[in-house]
Amino acid sequence: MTSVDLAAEAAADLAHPPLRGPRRARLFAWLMAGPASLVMLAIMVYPLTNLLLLSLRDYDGASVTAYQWVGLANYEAMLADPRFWAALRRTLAYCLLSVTASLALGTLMAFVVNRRFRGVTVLRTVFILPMVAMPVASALVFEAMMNPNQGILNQMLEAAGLPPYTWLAHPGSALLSLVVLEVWMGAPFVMLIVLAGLQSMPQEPLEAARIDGATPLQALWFVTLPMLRSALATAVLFKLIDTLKQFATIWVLTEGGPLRSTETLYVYGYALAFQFFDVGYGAAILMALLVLVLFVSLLWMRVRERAWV
Amino acid sequence: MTAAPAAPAPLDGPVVRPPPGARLRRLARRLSFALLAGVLLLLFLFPFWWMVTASLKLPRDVSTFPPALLFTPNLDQYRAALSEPAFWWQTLNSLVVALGALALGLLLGLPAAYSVARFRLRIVPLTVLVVRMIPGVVFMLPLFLVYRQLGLLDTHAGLIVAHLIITLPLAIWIMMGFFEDVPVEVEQAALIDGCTRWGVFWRVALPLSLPGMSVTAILAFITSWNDLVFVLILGGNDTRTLPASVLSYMGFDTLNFAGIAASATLLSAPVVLLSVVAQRWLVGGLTVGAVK
Amino acid sequence: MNVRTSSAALAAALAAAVPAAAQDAFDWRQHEGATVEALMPEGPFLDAALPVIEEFEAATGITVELEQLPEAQAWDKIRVEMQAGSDEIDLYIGQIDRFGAQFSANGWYEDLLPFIENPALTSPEFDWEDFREPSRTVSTIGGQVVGIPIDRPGGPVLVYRRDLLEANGIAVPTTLEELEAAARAIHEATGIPGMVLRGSGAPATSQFANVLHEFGGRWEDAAGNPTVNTREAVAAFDWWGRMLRETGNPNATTFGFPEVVSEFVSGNAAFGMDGALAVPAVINDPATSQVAGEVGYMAIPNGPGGPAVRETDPCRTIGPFAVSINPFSEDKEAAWLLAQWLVSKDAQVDLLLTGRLVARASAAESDRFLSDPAVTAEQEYWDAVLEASSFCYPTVGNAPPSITDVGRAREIVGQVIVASILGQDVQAAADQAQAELEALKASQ
Repeated sequence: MTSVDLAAEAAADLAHPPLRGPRRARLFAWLMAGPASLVMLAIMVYPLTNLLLLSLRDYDGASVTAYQWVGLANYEAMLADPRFWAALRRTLAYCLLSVTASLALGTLMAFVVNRRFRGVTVLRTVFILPMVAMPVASALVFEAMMNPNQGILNQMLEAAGLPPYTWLAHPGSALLSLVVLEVWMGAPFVMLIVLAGLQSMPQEPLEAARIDGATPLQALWFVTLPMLRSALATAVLFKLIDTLKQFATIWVLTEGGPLRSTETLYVYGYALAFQFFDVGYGAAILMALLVLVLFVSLLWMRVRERAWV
Repeated sequence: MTAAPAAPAPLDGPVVRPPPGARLRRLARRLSFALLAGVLLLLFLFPFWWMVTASLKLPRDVSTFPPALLFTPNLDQYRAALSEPAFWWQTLNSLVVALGALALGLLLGLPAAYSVARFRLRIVPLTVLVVRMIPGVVFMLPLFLVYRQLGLLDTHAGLIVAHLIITLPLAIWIMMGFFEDVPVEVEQAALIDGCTRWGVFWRVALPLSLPGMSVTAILAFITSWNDLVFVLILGGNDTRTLPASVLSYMGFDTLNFAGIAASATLLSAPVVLLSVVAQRWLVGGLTVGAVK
Repeated sequence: MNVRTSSAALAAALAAAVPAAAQDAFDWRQHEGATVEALMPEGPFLDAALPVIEEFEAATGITVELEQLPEAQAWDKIRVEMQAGSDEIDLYIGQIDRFGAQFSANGWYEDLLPFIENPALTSPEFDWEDFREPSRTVSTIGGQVVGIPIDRPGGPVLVYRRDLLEANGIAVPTTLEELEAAARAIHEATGIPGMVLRGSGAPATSQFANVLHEFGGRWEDAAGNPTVNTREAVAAFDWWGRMLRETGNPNATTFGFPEVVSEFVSGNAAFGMDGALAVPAVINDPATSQVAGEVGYMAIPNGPGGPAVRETDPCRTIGPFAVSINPFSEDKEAAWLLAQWLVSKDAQVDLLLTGRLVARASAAESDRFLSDPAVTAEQEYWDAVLEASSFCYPTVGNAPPSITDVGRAREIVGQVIVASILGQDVQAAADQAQAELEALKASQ
């Protein structure tokens, strides 16, 4: 059972906690898990409650006394706000593109480094690097590379006789450019998970398939990939959460522009709270983002259970 | 896994010769594989290569094209950065906070992970997942207010506790799987021999999961080291860490590419070195326990 | 850095020259032993403040704990501190138009007028009247003095590449129309982009305001209603987008001031116009600049509105950086002592010598300034900058001034600029911005 399964079980099981084992064992278990759980709850509860309460107010960020309770008005305004829906669409698009590309690229990378050849450790190390580098630093490096006039990417394009690309400068290409960065940073994680899956996979089915005359491609599609289901599913879940929550790199590179073409829910909420001094509404947007992440995660765990178990 | 099919081993019976052209096909496959690996390597390495070379050039030369592949490295940026006394105590701060958050995370997280693995306390992984889902900005103002009340602003202890948000879920998540991998029979044998439950944890489960702990330690350290958000809001002059210094190159007057590159390189250097040294553990051990 | 040495030397000289009796007239040591926590964004004002702080600590016995942050982070931190009503900061350097309306409405500024008028706390050297009237006006919101202005954001100064103009036989433009023609000509002849300007939306609005003015456009009419879609305004937006798109910088939508400076000093533009760019220290920086020695300066040329535009209604530029005190602080008086030192007459001359206009009138008239060889060497720069500041005044908010939500207003106007650069329908974008601004104003 993977950790994700445990979590899914917990979600379903919350109402009826199973009683297993002697009472002393249960006591021991709770003592062991107690401190960590308390810390996590403590860290979580206050900020979340605070966010919820903020979203029920009309608050411009001034001192604590200068706000009004407006109940669900912020949420009503949100549902009627075209900018909110646009941000939602963009968040989902960004997520979908990044996760799909990371999945494909990461799996490919896993297959490449799963073999023994000279230099494979070098390859593996290089592949991990984007994951451990500081996101903001990576974003700055990409920003410099994607600079339309002086950046090395366009210079290379021009040297090859191709027209320069607009990268972050044009609404049509900005989101894609951000996806490129996200995939560069995110594929290594997928690679690690898929690689672990590959290395713990039993060999017999593959050999059987080969003896039966399957081409490498058929073996891949019908034998290997299905056995990697569990690993792939875990990878997807993590990537979904991470891309929905992405903020620092987007903010540093575009602040949501040009013309709001990279304005995700997080960016919109942040701008509202910290630039437009509309903290109540910004909090509502961020609550919506939180609900979205929860919803997508639960949905994915459900799909996994139904379709892939 | 996807290697070219080898010629079948000789069995009893007539010798089977590989069909004509197989060697050529094998060569073609090897070449295309090498090409693929090469392209991927280039794609992933390129930004780092650019970053390091840019940091060694004069700011005015950073954007000249074609980029000089051979040039005399100019260490000005590094000299400037490393001679700032600020750089060194910022590094120290980063170290203190990362190590502290790591230690505390392991201290609290290892027992919890063990609980989950052995006693199926499913609420814990659920909590961990939810904590991971919360956008960082949600923590900013509430934590700032609480810290101010408690006088924890700009303290190392305060930052360490805040970074628990990062390290604790990570520790639990990774170690859950590793503890599950410890054979139950070994633990039961110990129990029969008169070991307490705690003793089983301390003397059996932990030693057998050292690879997992290494992985956890490395990842937790790296994530805490790279953090920017908590440090900026909850830290101050006394606790300024290294990542914050990268931002100071987006200056008032100019965009100093070379400076940014140097700063980013210095920042990533410890992390990269750590990954290089530990890549075997990372690759082999990251989710072996968690994914079955 | 000659700023530090000259400041220290001057302080020493002054201390020796002033008779002991006069020195003792004001008690600088009245808060000896106190600690002032100061927050300053990284940049030239911080650089100028460092030596001053050292001398201040020695002269007053007050300890200064300085926190320095990159600009964006500094603004965030200041805001968070104010929201929390925190006393962690006593004094900070902020931008009046960035915070002004918002902070003032929330009571987040300490009124400095009582301090200024209190002879026990304010040295006679301070001389509030020495600060130019427009600077004093912009620093006073709702009757309160919210900060002591440091710099005087000048009017728009255009920088140009003398060598490129000469090599291509183009005369220095005297109107915005001629400027456009010249930029196009150089781009066509050499492939070098003709003009570099900010284009990334909200940050561009402050620079755009100058061009808007030259076209006869205004942010709002006399009654305070936004007027961003008038014929003149649209013409100005259109000009801005054209200048970037059609003379070689169609991707300027990513250009903030760092990019503008970077492009120009690496030789990638024939003309440039930006408050951060037109500073000799930046243009001639040997580490980054490839155009040192080839650059000319001029005040912004007249637009279609002609010179008359400047007389009827002075243009507005951004507000200054200013030293403000946290109303929640517990060490206000000690902080006020520090504030005086940071904007003293000598400190202002030092800052002026680095090429930035300052708020005190006496600085530009001082002997030290007028006789400095670096000044006479850059005569063209000083002429341009002083001329430009003669018809432009700093203001609070560089989008419609009467809208308190400056951030959102700038963002709305910024979209029109971006749309123009991308070649979209400018009138439509301006109409949309007008509607949004009207809604914003109505909800105030």
